[in-house]
Amino acid sequence: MQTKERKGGSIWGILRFDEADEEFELLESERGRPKAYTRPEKPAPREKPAPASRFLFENERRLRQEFRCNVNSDILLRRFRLGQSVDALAVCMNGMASGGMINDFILRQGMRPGCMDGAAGSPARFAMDNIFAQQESECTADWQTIKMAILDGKTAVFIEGDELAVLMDTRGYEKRGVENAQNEKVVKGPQEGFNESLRTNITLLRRIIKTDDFVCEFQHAGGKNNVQLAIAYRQDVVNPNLLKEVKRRLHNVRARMLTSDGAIERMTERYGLSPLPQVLSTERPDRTAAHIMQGHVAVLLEGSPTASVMPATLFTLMATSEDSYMRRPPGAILRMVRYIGAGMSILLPGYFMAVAMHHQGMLSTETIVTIIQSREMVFLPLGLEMLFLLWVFQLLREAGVRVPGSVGQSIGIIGGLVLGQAAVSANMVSTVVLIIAALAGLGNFTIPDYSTQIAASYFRIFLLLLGWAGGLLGLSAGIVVLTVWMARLKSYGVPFLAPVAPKTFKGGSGGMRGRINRRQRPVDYINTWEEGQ
Amino acid sequence: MKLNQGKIGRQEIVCAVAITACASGIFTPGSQTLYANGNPAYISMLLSAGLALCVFGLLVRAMRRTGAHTLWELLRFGLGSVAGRIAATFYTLLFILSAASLLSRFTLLLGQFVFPLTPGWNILIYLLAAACVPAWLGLEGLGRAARLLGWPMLFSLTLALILAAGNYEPYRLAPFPGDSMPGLAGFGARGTLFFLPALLGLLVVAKGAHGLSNAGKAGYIANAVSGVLAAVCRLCLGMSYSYKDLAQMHSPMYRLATGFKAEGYFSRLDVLLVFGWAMGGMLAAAFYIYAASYLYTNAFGQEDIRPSVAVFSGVAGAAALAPHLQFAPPEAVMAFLSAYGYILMVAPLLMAAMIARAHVKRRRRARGGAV
Amino acid sequence: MKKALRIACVILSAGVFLICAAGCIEQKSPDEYGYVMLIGVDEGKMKPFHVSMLLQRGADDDEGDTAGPLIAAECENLFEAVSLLESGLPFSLTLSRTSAIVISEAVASGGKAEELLDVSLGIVFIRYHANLITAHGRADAFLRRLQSGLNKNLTKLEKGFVEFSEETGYVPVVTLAQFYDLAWSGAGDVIVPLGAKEFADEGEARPAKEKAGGMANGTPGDRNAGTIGALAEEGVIYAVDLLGEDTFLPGYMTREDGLTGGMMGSAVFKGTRMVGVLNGTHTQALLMATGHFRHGRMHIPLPDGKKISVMFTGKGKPATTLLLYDEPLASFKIDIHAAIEQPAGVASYSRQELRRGIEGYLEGLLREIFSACKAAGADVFSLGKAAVVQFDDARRWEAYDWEGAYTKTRAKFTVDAQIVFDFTRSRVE
Repeated sequence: MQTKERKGGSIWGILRFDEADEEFELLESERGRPKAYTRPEKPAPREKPAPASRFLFENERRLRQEFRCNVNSDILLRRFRLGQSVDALAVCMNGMASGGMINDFILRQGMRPGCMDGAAGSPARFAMDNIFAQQESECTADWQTIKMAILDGKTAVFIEGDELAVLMDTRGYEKRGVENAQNEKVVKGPQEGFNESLRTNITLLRRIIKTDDFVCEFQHAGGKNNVQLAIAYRQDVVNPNLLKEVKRRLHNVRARMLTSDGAIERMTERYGLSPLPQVLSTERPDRTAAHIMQGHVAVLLEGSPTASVMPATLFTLMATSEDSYMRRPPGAILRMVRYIGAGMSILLPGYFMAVAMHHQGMLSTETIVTIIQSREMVFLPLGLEMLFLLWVFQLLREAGVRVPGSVGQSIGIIGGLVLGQAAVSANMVSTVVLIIAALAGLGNFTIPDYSTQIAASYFRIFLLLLGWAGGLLGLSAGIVVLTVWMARLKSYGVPFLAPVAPKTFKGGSGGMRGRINRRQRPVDYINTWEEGQ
Repeated sequence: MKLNQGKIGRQEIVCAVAITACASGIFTPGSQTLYANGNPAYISMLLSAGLALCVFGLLVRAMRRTGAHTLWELLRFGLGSVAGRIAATFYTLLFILSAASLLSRFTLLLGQFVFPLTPGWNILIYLLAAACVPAWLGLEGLGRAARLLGWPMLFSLTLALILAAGNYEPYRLAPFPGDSMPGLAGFGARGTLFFLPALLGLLVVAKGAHGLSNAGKAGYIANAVSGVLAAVCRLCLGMSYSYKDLAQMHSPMYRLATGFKAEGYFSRLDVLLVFGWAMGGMLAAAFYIYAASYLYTNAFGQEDIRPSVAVFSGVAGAAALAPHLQFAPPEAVMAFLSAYGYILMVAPLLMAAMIARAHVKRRRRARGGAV
Repeated sequence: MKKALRIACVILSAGVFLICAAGCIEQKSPDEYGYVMLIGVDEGKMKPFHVSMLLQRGADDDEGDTAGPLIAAECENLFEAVSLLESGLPFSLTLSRTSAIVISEAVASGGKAEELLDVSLGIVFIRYHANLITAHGRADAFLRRLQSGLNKNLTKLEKGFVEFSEETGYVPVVTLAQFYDLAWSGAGDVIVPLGAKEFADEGEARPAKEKAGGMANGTPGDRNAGTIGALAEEGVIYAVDLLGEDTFLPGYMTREDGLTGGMMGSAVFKGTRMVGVLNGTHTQALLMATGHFRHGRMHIPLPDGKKISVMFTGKGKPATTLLLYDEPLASFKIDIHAAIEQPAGVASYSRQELRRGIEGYLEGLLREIFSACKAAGADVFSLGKAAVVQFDDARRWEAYDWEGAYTKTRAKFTVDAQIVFDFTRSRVE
């Protein structure tokens, strides 16, 4: 069944009353059990280039032409005689391929006299099987594959008289080592984080998931810069419909340049205008592995130090890997603190505004007197005061991220102390409002996911404006609308508020930590194979 | 088709229907008629809920026997295409008026006690927006939000009743029961107007509740919960104020909340509690609007529910605002509806159920099978 | 796509316009309000009422010891008072923090409380759990006496009176909600805390004798000591007049400066009209009979002329029965806990004698109060509550003349006191 893919959720979709909305469902919907979509939409077939030639000079000419060797000196073409009897050509990208591996395992091995003796059939296959000592090798005549392999850092060896070329993995480019996860720090648990190398990232996952059904499918990411991505999942656990849907959406990605998984996320999500992310973006291998074990699918992109895990629910976004490493009581308390902090961050400014501007009767005499005294010489209206402080907070936050080195750490102290105190002294803000804004800001930082933090900021402003305009009426209307909207939101067919709404079986760790023996079962809302789907 | 229905579980649909029935049962009845002859409202509420449950049970049985999956299918099967559509229109209007009644009550309450200098339409806009958006987004969002927000609403209701416990005096329920048995029965019958629309809404969206069987169970649970809650609220109100006082109050629950004997912060909680109830009212109005739109869409073969939601929200808003702009319907009409509205509501349903069952029996007899 | 975009823009603009046109709900910052903590109502000279309001000010106000400004205006009703006062002030008034309404004796006894305390007070945001106080004298003078450097937080100050009631039993606590309930339901009458009067306020000389415990309007002998009926015609009956009671009125103190406001018993209302005054001891006894008594100290006279101090503690609601004969018969069974605070002084009495003495004293006191209040027509023992539960039909209850039946009611009081000699169980305030 062909489905019309909305381009990241367009704003005028809201007014299209004449079009059916075939939204992907992972759980049962009004149309019954979700059916698997057919094979992914294939891109329009491009004209396939001619395969490699049997003649060496022809292959060399073509390579020089297509790689612009007259101006591009990165491509190395090395002629040599295989077994000192057969002409051969080794092609690689300078800097991407390891010179040592080429010298030791291709050229030295290939130049041994008599090594081609007894070659029967395809010389390329013979050479791959008997001469070249490389673990990852393949033979192919597909010109596009050969070119991609060279661009990727592999070495292609053409042999006179054979259209097949031997492709060998000789990648040896400079890359960042495995370092600590910069943005997801934990006290207890592993400290490793992903880096920009796809192979390294997959290795980090494989060190944690040592099962035979752990699959990494590689495919072209869809960008014109020809980077690869890997789809990682456990074949015996994952819901096949989920996997097909992920592949279908990835197959439709078309971009000029893809360097981070954020772009992939933008192009594959259903609700493009939603402040809340529908995919979990993490730079921790342990967290990614934990989700893969539960039946989620992870997508890793070459050049991106984060993995995208789908589907993602609110509780997935609010959880940290540290929750799993702590004992149940402290873990539960920490999680509660996190949720209370997030709730406070979103609701407190709006609630304060509503009560202070519309429902002063709710405040105690002491509070009223304190507010009145603190606002005696303040010239800004209360609402603008609050907006100003929240704006200052956002500025500090952005400045702290952008300013490099040790100065960045000082920004927080300078901004918080000096700016806050100066603003109070200058009668721009009052102390009570400053405290409220500070609490809201601190609460925001308890949210582990960065995208969700930004979303919380939007919600905070939205509720603040509603509280200012309509008091608790505006605030409660806003809460209802937000709650319904979040309940309606879906991530790859899974409701965003699962497993709380809809309620799934009790073993799932929704809001609080469940017992550890219950965590042996995968999460219910993905309908994995293990659940007897 | 864009019906925005999806499927929701039993807890979600129970919460949605219970909130709707509770809000209607607690906040919409008029105090003047309810307390005209004493303080037996807590008994008549239970009677009303029970009667509504009986009618609901009859409808569920009829639908099961006739193979109808939703209320529209029953109406169409029982009354035919044309009469069924007329009945569907009538029930659509019923849902819209139920939503309007709730919105109007909350507008009055908030306009009188919380925002006294604010025109009614200013308040209504917030309530209406918070009712229209959930209905627009569909049953899934509505049901799940009901499950989440139902707890704060229940908490605000029970907290109000608990904090007001210092004011309860059983003698205020006297004279007990205050009215004769036929009088009580009459009150109970008239009160089905508050509980039955929510259950009818459930039957309209039964497919989204995983079928009639689940919808039936959900309806029984929701009705029981809402009936008990409404009766407990009336009991507590009855123990807090005499019937003469209650007959003059248009928002007795708010008066209850302002009379806490508790010290400190609890004595100022009334406004916060009111907004807990208002959130329930918004969800209830959204459920009614969604049910109206869904029924209309089904009955008239529409593909998309969203235009109906938009239009019916506007109609509900206008109907809610009318009393505040001195455009109340004539007294005679209101009196008639108050006295006989429940008959008008129940009669087409029972007729459809009986005719549909008769059809089925005839068909089975014609086939020579067991009846 | 362009058309759809245009439609979307039009709808969005309309939405934004609508929201802006809807406007923000009327709002004011907290510093744009003056918070009325206490309202006083007196008789006006030119208009029916003279309404005064005590506002809450800042905690570090440098202007002397006053807790807040007192503003006043003459008006037809409370709504007009708010409008008149606001028109002369640089801020709006809000009554949502009002914790008490003080009505002067003149207004209460003139029956104007009904007009003033209309149920529509909710519209001005006065909370129904605000307390009601009757001032013995002028209400504005009472409010002025509350202004003190002791505690500028008027809510806490007012709350202190409530605690005073619970700790001593000398004054009752009545909220607006309770007043409405009893005043209009016919199930009883209310007693309202009575604020003490300061003679200097009204230029009156202090009475020569304190025999009546400083009763404001002089000793019993100064009044027209006619029959109870004659006294009733004067409008207000004082307990001291009816009962010949000369017990010192607790709560009446003379202070030179600072907080001079205090309480001195309770005002008896019949419906919405004040008909009498009970002193602190009478109020204690009445609260015991109605089940609102928590703790309190009484001085019980012994046969040998001594007086002992007894700390009473309530033991729950008394059992009340009412038989609706032609002359209804009411019986009260009151359980009370009595801790004698001077055990050495009672060494010559047996436990049984003490018990009978205390019980007899309380029963006598209650009989006197019942007679006096029945004469004034005030059902302060709330026998109406016991009457209404004996009906099963509202129409029959409404047709029954309970007021007439009450005047013929006889009452029997049975007090069961549990005596404790442990003086450590009493508390010195």
